[in-house]
Amino acid sequence: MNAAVGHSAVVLGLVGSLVGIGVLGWGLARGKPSLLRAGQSYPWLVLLAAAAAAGAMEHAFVTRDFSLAYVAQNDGLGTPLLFRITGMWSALQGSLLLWTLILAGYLAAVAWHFRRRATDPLVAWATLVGLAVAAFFFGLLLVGAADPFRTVAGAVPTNGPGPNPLLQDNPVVAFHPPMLYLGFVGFTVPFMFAVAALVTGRVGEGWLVETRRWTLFAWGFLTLGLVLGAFWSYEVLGWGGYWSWDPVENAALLPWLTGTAFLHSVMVQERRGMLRVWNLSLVLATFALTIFGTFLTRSGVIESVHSFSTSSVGPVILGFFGAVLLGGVGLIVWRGEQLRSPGSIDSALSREGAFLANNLAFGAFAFVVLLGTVFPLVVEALHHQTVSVGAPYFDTMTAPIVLALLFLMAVAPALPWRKASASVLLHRMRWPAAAGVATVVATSAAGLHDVAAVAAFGLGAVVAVSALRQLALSARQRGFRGLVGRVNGGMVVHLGVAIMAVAFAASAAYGQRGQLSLRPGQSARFDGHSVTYLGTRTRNFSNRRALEAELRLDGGPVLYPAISVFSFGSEGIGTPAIDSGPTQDVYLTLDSSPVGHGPTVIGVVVQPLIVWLWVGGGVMGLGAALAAFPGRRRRPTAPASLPGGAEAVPEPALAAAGPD
Amino acid sequence: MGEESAPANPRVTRFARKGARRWRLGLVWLAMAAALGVAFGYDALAGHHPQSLDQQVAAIANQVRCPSCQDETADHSATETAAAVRATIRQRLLAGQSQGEIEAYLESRYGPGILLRPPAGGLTGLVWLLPVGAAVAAIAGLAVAFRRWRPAPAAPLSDKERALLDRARRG
Repeated sequence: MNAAVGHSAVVLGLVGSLVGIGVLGWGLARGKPSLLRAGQSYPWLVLLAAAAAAGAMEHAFVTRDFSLAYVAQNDGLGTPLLFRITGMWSALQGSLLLWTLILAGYLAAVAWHFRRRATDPLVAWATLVGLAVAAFFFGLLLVGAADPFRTVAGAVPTNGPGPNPLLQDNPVVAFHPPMLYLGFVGFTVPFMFAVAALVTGRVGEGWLVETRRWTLFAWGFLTLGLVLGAFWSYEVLGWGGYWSWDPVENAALLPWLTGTAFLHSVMVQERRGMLRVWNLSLVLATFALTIFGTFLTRSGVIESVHSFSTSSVGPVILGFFGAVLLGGVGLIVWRGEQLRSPGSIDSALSREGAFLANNLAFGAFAFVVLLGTVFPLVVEALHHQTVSVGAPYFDTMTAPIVLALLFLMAVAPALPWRKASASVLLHRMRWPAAAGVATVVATSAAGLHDVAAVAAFGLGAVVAVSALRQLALSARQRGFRGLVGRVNGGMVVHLGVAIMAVAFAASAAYGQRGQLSLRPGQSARFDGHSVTYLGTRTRNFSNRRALEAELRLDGGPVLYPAISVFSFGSEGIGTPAIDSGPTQDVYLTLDSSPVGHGPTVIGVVVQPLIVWLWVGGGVMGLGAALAAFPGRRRRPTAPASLPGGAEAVPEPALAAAGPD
Repeated sequence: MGEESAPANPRVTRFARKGARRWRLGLVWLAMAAALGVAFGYDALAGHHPQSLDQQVAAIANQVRCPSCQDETADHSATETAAAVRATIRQRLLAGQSQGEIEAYLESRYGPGILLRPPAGGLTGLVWLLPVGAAVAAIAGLAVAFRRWRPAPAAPLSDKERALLDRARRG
């Protein structure tokens, strides 16, 4: 029954999207408003179909309908309810279904938001493009390997293995993939409007303004999704780190990098009418990279801890990626003449100059990550030679870019538009710089001598105080409203980045790891902590049997790192136990199963300031929410900024507040 | 930054105060730069401890893939193969080998994919050179663009405009 409902729903979604495309296309060709209005109802049909398909899948998981091959592979009698619900997105087919559901949700939300402008060709074209993307995904769900509703051949199994053991260990799997997908898929909306703007020739700033909040929304969720992914990696994988430059992580980071570049450069276009081609390219690249990421992670082309599936959908997704790229570049070339803008940038030392530098840095960052990720594939394909491009490469290449970005984040908020004089900049930056210098001096005096880390601490302090200064100026003028709107929300995001940067630098430079070999009753010291091995205990859960080591940390709390054996897996899966604190985490793992009274190996990782990574991520999410909150419209006559000699003039905190 | 009430000859005092303020600001920045220089200089001098054997092992193991894992370094992984790699590194360090010699040995033993840092020479050199080349090209492009964008010098203000501007600035 679930299979029948699911299949019908997917077919309905595909047909609905195609008919919607036809109706809108016909209406646009003939200029018939009635058809354009009718076309706006198809996103709702598509949402209905996607919801029915996802509902059928969830129903199959919760009721353990093992007649569906996907459920038989990813559900089990012992699987707890939470992990049966999250089981839907624990492998390829269900993940694509979740993607389709979220896409349909976005399309319906766009249709609702623009319901009074259904006859506007820009909206009609955008909807048409959105339906085309939806048609692709519904079509993909019908392709053999990606079909989530395929039934098992032969006898229906009575039990299944459940999701991948790593995916039934921590409730974060209920949030990380949906948030990441809300981010990924959300970038479809600016893409739809960018294509619509190119097709209709309305390539001015209109489409940017229409999609401003949609982009922010997607960006906010992608940010939270990435941070939650790092959190999951830290809490579950047991190596004491949170980011390993794994291809799947890189695939998720890439659209974030280009999307972040876009959020900044878009302000130059709104303000000065420049960078049109560049912004269109960034939107195109961001959307294309979400598709490319799906290809990398879901085609089995790269094996990694995240690739829980291998499939033959790779070529189909790659083809779609190629079509998006070619189509987008073709449209930009076709509209080339209209995209020229008369504006010019007066001085490199200005807000727009800083945004350009920001885009350069983000572009370089994305290029490094993309190159490093695909390079081994290309070399292997062309030269049949195995090379690895791993963390040492990415760390070396991105560290200077990250420091440059921190520097820009520190200085840019104090720069006026058009042109700044050095004296204005020195005046505005005196407190942030003082905070940075004080931090560097204090950390050096405290005995921290890693130059890169100390530089990151100092820059983090400058960024934080620079952002706080901007917020304080703004709040002084407008009260609590000074904290909302794009620029002020952006400053809160900067604050979050500063917190994360300090935590990153601290854990990279001052993390310690080691292994202790202990017999029951023995103690050992590591990096100032004492670990006492009390013994082991075994616990049985519905889905697994866990062997837990009892370890007393510093004479206080007892921690229980474990090795679990799942009913269907033979290999033991380690689960770390973590003692978190504001200054450092002590992370314990059980690295070998004890035999009798023999010694057992305990892994110890001491990581400073890790908690602040998650705090910083939360602050970034909060900032994105504040940025999307409507601020006050800037008076058209309000002084934007004065070039030079502005010491005598109160600095307008609204300087950068664009039209909301 | 509110302006003080206008004294007898506002223009002269304002200039005088502005000059003094500039001086003060310049001194503050000089002092900050000096403090920064001292702190980083001290870091650079004090930060050079000889590494312990454990640290040397970790530093090399961090550049090497765990042979039986997908994406973990030999330093991070708890598997036996990673432990074997760490033991090999330790042995060879004790025998007096350099990092390069140890990496060359591991490469000959496990194949070129064992090194997580692609060698700078040969085909893999591209992965290092391309981003640097692209960044240099982009910076050069931006520099050219700024040169082209340089606006024509603004026409001098007429007396009337200047009076208007003064009034506006005084608020």
